[in-house]
Amino acid sequence: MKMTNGLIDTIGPLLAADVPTLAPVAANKVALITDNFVPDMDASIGDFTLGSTTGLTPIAGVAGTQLESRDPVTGEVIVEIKTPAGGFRWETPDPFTDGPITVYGFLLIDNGAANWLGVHKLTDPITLDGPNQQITAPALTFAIDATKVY
Amino acid sequence: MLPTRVMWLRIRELVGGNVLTIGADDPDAPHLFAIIAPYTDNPNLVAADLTFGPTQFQWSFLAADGSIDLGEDAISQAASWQRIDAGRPWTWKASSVGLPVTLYGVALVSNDGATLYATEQLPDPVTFDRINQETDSPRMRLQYPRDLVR
Repeated sequence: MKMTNGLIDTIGPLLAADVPTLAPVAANKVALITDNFVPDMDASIGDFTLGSTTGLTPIAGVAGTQLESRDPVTGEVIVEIKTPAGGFRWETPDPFTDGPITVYGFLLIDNGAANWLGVHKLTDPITLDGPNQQITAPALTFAIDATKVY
Repeated sequence: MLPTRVMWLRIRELVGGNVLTIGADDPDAPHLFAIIAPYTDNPNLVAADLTFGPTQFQWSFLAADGSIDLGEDAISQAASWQRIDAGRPWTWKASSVGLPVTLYGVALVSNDGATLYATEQLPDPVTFDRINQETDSPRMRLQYPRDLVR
């Protein structure tokens, strides 16, 4: 069956406020992915290499309900991960002795880093090869195209 | 972001299990109504846009209590949600009242008929002009593919 807005409009609020996944009491984190990967929803967290050196460790987001909306152009349901104060922003230390490190994407993980929830792959990887270099994640969203429901 | 499989399936559990909408049980269980005037599937449809069959003449199905069934299509891998009718097979059968009636599709609606959740248009309308004529009905089922979320 094809969903109508009477049902589509429930998706965002339900997902954005879902405590077991996107809205936990202990905030989810975003990690840098520092080895190349193929996006795959069946992957496990152990399949990703995550940034772990000084300045490049996972950053906690905001606990509780996340943002949700409808895209005015595509009609997609958008659930956006709230950005913490200071942003999802990483900066290499000075001196930077662990590089160069190439960032291939961003991984949304739970607070204890036991599971991942979503992955964003960069179109072009970014290499950090010196001190005081920074990288900031784009808006991290889940876009749900309910017209694909049948 | 590409979701992990857990997140992808979570949408089905949250939306399909929502007791305020399509996951409700008696006395609020949703109906599947016959649509007996021409229309086209569209997310912007509301209940008032459609002409439903007269429920007193069996032109509707009612979801059975506790009947939410979650599965995945073995071939397409689509996630599925469905409910079982409370009283009879998924077949539309004409009574002697109000004929002829043409069936254009079916609508998943709230128990009070006020909120439209989903529709499924028949490939070809089916006209009933004699008592006991019958045709198979689409089920009270929603499915979505692995690329629902990006």
